Amino acid sequence: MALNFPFTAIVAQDEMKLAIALSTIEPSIGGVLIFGDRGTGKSTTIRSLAALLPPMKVVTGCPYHCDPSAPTLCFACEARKTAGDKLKTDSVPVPVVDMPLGATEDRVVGALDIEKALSQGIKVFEPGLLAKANRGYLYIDEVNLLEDHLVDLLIDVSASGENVVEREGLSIRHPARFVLIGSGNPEEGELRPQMLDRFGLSVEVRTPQDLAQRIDIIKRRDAFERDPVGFLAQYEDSEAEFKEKILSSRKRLGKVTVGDDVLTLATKLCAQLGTDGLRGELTLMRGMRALAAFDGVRKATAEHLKRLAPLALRHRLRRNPLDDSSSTTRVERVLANFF
Amino acid sequence: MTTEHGQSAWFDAQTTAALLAIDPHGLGGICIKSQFGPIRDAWFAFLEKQIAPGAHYQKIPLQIQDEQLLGGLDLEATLQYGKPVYSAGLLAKSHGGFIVLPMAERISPHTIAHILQVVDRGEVRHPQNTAEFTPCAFGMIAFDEGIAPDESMHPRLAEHMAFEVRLDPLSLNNCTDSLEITPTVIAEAKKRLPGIECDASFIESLLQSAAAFGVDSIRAGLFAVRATKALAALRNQNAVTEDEVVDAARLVLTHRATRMPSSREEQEPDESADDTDSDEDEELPNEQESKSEQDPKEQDDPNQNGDGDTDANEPKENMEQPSRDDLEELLIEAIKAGIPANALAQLNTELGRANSKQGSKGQFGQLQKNANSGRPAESWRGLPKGGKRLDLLKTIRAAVPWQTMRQAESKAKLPAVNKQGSRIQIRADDLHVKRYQQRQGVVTIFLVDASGSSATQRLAEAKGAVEQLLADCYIRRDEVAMIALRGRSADVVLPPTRSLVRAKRNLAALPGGGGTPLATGFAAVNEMALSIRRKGMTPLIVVMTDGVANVTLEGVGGRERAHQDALHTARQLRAAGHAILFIDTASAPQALAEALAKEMAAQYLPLPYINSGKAISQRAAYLARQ
Repeated sequence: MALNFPFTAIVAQDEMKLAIALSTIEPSIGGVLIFGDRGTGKSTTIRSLAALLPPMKVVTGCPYHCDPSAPTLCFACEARKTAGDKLKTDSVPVPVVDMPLGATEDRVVGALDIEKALSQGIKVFEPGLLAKANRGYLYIDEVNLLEDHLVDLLIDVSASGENVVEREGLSIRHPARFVLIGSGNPEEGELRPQMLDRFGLSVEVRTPQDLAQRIDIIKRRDAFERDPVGFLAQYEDSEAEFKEKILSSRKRLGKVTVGDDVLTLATKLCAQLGTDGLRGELTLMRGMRALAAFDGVRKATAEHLKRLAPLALRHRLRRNPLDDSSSTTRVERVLANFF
Repeated sequence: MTTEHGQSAWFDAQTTAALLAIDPHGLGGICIKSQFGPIRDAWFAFLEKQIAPGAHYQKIPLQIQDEQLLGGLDLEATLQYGKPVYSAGLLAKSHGGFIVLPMAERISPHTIAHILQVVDRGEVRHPQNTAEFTPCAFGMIAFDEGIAPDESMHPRLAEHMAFEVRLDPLSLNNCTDSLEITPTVIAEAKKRLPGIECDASFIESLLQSAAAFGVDSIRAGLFAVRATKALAALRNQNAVTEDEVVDAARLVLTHRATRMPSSREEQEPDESADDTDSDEDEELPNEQESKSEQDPKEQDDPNQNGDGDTDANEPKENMEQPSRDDLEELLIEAIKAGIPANALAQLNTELGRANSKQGSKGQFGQLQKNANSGRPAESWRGLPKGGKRLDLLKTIRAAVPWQTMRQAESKAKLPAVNKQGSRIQIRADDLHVKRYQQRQGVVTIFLVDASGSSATQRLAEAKGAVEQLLADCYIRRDEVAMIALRGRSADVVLPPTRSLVRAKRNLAALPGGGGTPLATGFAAVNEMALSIRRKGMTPLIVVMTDGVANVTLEGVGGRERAHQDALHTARQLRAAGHAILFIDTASAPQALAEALAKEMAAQYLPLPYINSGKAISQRAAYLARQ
């Protein structure tokens, strides 16, 4: 496995890092959409994520990484159980799966395993990327250029948490719950509103314009390339610290309360911005909880709401052709009235 | 091109080849923008025969399948031997060598996505055990033969290559001499490379000049730094000197320039404006103590108190570090010198910025054209008759599960014939044929009369309609374009796009006023509509004017003549058979406008009855559906 650039060594891009941290603390927030130019460190950030995640327990040999403590297991594990197999447990890194733009439906959904069919004459399902990403992350670069039929598929799977395969005489359903991370450049194409809605948080990244930061990025990258092991050692402490912070935030998460006053404020905010549906409010609530946990406190406040609102709401605004300002400005404008 | 200039351009082209041979993965690749011919051959021969003869050069055919590219089950061998055979993909085979991409302007975005994922990771999935990765690093050599301005390599791929070389301006006698680089020189440079460092102040200078030319991508800076090191290695040095910095800037940054640097006085406020949103001062201190102990002052200057009061700073900088300032001047000159003269004029104007963006958009249109003329859809069970093509893979997939059974069956029936049981048996039921999806998107072209006093209001309505249409049409994936009439010309202010962001930006700064060259506008809209049709999409024209033309086709004033010209070109629009919506923007319906609408067989709508962007967009959408 090639070494990845450490997360904590990434210069600036605080909003992107925060959004990703929140999604690791509370995966039910529902994915992160990153919009910005090429060469802003999006891919680097996502790849560095794997190192931050504590390993998870899985049923040994399960292609869908079944959680041994879950009430229901996937069809494969259930079959093994009924056959009297004793299921063993393994600890594996959380999967971060790259889905390339050109992935075929076969590779994404899974297909008939040709090898087994040829050699043994049996019909076996060969899991695809959706199976690999179960309980982990699915990263799609240039998500706005994805083929329509794959977008449809993702919209469906990310809502149901289940991949249903009905093809080539196969009839299979398996769990496919993952945090969807998408990135792209809005100038190259818009994203369908239904797809936008599947992302809990969205961030807009740009290349840092500050020269000192740009120089710092290149210097760190240069140092990493010259001596990756040494560079990683240099950031070992900060990585461990961040990992610990994620872990403790996760533990704290269940105890964080969101007061009715803050929730009322959140509802009002959504109403004034005219966001469609309840998902905006739900994301705000879950996000505030995660943010408070990340901050090390047990009560989410209006301040948390204010910090989170642009991330949680800017991609949920209805288009207003008469309003030229970006959605970020629109959220901020309304926020200014509130606070 | 003068001999001297051509000669140095040729040497530069050869130098990039040498640099890529020294650090293929670090520098990503070279895009050779040139037509097929002896000069291109000479360049490639220099790399392949003279400096890196032992390396593996893997040509990647345009229509490559994923399995071939990335590796996996080798279907042919599998069928032949009757057991699964895996083979590494072309990319894995290219590890340590080069991939060659012919006709790079035509590579599908899918292939690009796969290649770049491997480039980014530096490893490729193992063909059999897909949970494992094997290292995979190579240099890319792309031959971009695009001729039309909007026909060039995908910007995503270009972004991942350090160099771009234009060979077309060179003549053969520029290329008779060759740099004296031997494989030994390259091998030694490769050995030296890991030990070479690039001074922090050089990195700063490079980034400063990149910023001056509007090069935003961090990757460009990284490539420039790596190029300095490869250059130093090539020149038998153990450290990077100013010469390498200047050369690297010329080779890496020149073709990435999106604007010309403003003169020093203008440049500084520009930077300070960008600095205002930086609350990252927390990050700065630790970075400085760790990395710039040699020269802390120098780092302080441009970043912390560089906001605006440049006059106070500059003399100080000059006194302490004259050479660095000189170096930046030198870099800027070096990059400027490399930009072709005609491009220079373009970059200088504000329009130049927009144009360069348009260039990259054009490619998308082009690529989408391919997608439109037939995106492969799920194959269907059926017989390959009537020009339908057999989908071999699907057919085999369908046949495979039944093999054991069929073989047992046929052995029982005809034991003599079927001794070799390993052949795959295909029945008519298994046959699948390929299907292509023809998706005819609609491109709505607005022709807006931006002349005269009421221009502002009309433009606002047109803009509203454009944005409304775009907002309404994600799912249909329709596109919108706009041509504006102003003064003596008809300008394409928004080339066909599906991006709302882009439309907003282009339309925001749209000025109005001047004469009404209706005929020129009709001709321009006709031309655009025809070109859209050639791409397999359906054009829909929305004309917004009061119908009073006052500039003729030749660009001269004169109402009567202008009106005759307009009628004439309107007839051409009718002859082409376009769907047209004519919106009369006068306060009361105009006879002239109605006559024009009739002449072009348009649907005529006076504005008083259809008075908002939303209404216009609804009408247009309705017309498009018919």
